[in-house]
Amino acid sequence: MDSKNTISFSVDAGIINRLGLELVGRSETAVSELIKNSYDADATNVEVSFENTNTIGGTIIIDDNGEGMNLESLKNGFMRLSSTDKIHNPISKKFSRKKAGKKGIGRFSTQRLGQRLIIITKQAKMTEALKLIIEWNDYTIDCNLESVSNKFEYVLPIKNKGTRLIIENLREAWGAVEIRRVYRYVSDLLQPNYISDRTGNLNIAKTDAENFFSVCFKQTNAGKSEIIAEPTKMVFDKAIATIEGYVDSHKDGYCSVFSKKFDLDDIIPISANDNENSLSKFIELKDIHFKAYYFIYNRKDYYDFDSNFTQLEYKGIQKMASESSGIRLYRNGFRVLPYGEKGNDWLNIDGNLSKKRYESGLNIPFNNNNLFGFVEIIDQSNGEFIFDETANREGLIENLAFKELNTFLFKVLRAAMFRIASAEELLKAKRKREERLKKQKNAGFQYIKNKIKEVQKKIENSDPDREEHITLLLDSLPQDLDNREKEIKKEAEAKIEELGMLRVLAGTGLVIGEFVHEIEQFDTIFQSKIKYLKKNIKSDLSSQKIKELEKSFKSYQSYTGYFRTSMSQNVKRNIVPINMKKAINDFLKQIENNSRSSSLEIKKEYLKKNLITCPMHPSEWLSILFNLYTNSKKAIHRNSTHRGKILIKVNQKNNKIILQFQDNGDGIPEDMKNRIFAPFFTTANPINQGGKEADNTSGTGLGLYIVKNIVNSYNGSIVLDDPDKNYNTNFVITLPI
Amino acid sequence: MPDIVYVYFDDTPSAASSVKDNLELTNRLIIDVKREEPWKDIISYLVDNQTDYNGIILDWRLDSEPDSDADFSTEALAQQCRRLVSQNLNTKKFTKDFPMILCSSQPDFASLHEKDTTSTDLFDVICTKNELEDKGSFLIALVEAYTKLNLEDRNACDILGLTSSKAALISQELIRKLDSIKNQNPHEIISFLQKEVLDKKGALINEDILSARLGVNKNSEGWSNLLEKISDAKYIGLLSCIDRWWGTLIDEWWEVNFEADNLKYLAASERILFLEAKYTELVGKLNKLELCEGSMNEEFWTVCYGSGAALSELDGFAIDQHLHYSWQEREYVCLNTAKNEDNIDKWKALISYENDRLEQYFEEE
Repeated sequence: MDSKNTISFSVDAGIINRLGLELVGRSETAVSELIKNSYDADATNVEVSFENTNTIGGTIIIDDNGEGMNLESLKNGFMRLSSTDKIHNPISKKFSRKKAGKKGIGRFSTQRLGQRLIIITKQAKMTEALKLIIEWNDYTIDCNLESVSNKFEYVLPIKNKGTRLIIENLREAWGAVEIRRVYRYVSDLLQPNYISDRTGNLNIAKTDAENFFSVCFKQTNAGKSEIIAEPTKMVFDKAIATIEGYVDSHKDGYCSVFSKKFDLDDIIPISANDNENSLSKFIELKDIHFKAYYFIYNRKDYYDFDSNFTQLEYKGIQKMASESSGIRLYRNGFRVLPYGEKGNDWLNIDGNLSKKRYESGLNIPFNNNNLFGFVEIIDQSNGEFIFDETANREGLIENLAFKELNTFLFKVLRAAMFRIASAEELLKAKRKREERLKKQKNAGFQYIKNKIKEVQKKIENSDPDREEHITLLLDSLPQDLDNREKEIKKEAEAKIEELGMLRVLAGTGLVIGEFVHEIEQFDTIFQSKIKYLKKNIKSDLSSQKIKELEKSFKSYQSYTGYFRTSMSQNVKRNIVPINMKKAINDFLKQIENNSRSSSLEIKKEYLKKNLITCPMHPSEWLSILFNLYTNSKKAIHRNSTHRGKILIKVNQKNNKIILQFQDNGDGIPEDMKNRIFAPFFTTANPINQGGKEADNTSGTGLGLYIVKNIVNSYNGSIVLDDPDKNYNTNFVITLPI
Repeated sequence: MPDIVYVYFDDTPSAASSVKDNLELTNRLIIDVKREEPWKDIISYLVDNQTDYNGIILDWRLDSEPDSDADFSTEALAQQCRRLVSQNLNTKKFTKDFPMILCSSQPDFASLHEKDTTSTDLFDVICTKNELEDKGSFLIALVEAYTKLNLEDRNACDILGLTSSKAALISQELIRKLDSIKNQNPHEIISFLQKEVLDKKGALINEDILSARLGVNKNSEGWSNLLEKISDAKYIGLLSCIDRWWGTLIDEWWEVNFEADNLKYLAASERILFLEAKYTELVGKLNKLELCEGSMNEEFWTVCYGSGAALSELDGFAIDQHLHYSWQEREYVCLNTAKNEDNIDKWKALISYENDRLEQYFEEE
């Protein structure tokens, strides 16, 4: 304002263009700045619509549920260039968010994008919404900035609070690629919105207290709408594996594990108890939905990077994990704290499950950090609540339902962990094979030797170009040797890894050996005392009990007998030809008590007079038979309708011993047939963390892997073949003589 | 009234007490448990206290405990004892011979020990402690046998508990052999009796083989009744706590009492018909023995050495044995046992010419 002897600055309206089109370089920056403004306004949801934007002149609509603006804040904020609002208020009011938007770029972003801007905004306390229309073309050069006026009016509100920006007459075209690029710019703000459709559909009041921020990008062309990008779609699609768990209304538990990368798509029933032979329902727990996305960091080769998923986003996920990984709990649509908060390990994943992972020698990480998961409980049907929150609202009361929930989730994660590990091993093995095949063409040292031979020949023949070839050879030699060294190192590492796994098992074996030796004396004493009591006890009831005790003891002895034989054989290092008949007869004698108590019918058929194998280690046969036997027993129990039958057939043909191990259990589904030999693959009932399972190897998924290893080491093979009539599974082991 | 004492050297009191408890249930045995002591002390104890015990039980692990004073092997001790019994009158330390038992806590002890043939001759019983607990009556019978042989003049008929008329019907070679060793130490006689007479099928047969020869299942209601009918053929010599019957005396009994062919040539069903005809109170109470898989002949004369099933010699496969004396008969196994090599640790192998015969049964493809 000029007065008598003062001059003030005036502003040409053309400054809008300077600060808009010329300052805001890229359109993606422009849109992302507007979204940041919504973030700063404490919005939890932003919907960005690109309407008819395949050509110039389309419309972008940015709709948020932030705090909105009234006339005052519009005047002093949006309409005031270089507003000081962000200086005075660097933290958002409601969620205490650190303001993301850069100072004052927002408004000019809109000018950068399109020729016309319509703002419709409303604060909660306003009764009507405020609508402002700005025609950027009005801001031409050679007129005063403050002389351009923009119409505003009050209109009927369409929502309680928030701001809608309508940017019309876009200066550029926007395709899916451009839209996704914008998404990436704002992705570090995004936190996953876990609420599934299920709770969303239930119209349960959601508090806005949850501090999440999700953005959804839509594209509309000729009336048809399509979601281009939203948090779950973008980020979680890239998870290595998706784990889901359900407890249905009948209180039966299931879990499913899916991984495109590892070719995994399994459904595993989850039992309430730890009994490995049957599935049981939960007592209180029902209507539970669980979903978790599993990521492995630092293994880039498990991800496919492309325009849809960049390495930047990959790093972003890891960063996100430090804040929002873990398993969250939602009950009737509300988040229940502190479950899944940073540092909270309510399911003992970092503790117990990790220990189990280490003990079993699994090669994948599996901590809270690797999981983005949520549990949904809907328990208010019929007005009765299965769960209860504590008085201070910090968690759920640990009633039976909660304990069952804990058990269920632990078992789901454990089962998924093993399947994923097993599938990963398969993938690794497959890749190794492929690599080996590839390398065979340039097989290591032979390749180098051939090259040298060639050059030597040339020297011998005094070839004119021999000098050239010598140079070529010397040039390539360091690299060739280097490559081979790297190969050897990798092979060694793989062997060391395998050794590590086997060492864990060997350690266990040694412990068992010691233990068995120590308890040997007790066998004799127990037997003796039982005998004495039997002779002396006169009363019928006590007599009956002694007989039961004796029966149990005999069953127990079948295990100690097995271990003793196994251990004593292990001490002898030499290999001998094995008489299959004797080996199997001895084995059947060992398990006699065990099989009798399970009413198993075991048949054997020896089809030749001489069934002698090549020299082998005797205890390894015991291992093989024992593993096959325990697997069959489990399969039979899962198929509990019939009396369990096992058939062992041995034949000799073409200088090979062929052993068939058949059972009438529940059989092996087609899609599992080539996975059962992979390490860690198990269909055994997952055991809860408190469960007693330190004893045998059942459930570690290593039985068949070890059997295969043994058989292969003697140049034999193990495959699945068609079973005889009345049997469902047939393992066929072939060994040379 | 307990009247028989075994002194028992063992360095594990808990294991020893279990054995003691069980054996003393017989109400005739007293087991006097002692910890091990140095070599010389055990021998002198045994010599000095001869009247206080009737037999010795030794724990095989006496020399393997780290803190034990025993610095010898159990076998050497036994060897010394036996020697001291049999030395000539001047240097003889023991006035009588006595049973010696070797036992161990190790489960497969007996089979491990079998390989060491020298010491098997020194002991009357070699078994695990659990097995020993069940041998109370045998331990008693041993002492009674030794006592008899220590005190009296004896001849073959005394030893075998036979009248002279009965003795004429059994293997004369057996009689001659026993008469030739009757003046040796009781241990030699009892050892021979056990190994070559009682434990070998032939002159004497056990209850299973008896049942096969009669064609009657031992589980039959009338079995014990039937046994009484042939009590004349029962063995009542030394160690008769072991149930045995004289094979030839059974044949004799059959010939005398039944108007029929030799027992051996009759099928089981025929035998039962004859028995029921003569002993009407046994009608319906004698169950026939069944053919086992692969057998076709009911003229049962033995049992399968592996499985115990009744077997005729036509169906059986002879096993490879060294039979030292003419009164000993070869053992057989049935087809299934031969094919599957069940219990092969017991019968070891078929006699060579039977292998070809067995081969035929594998022809199926």
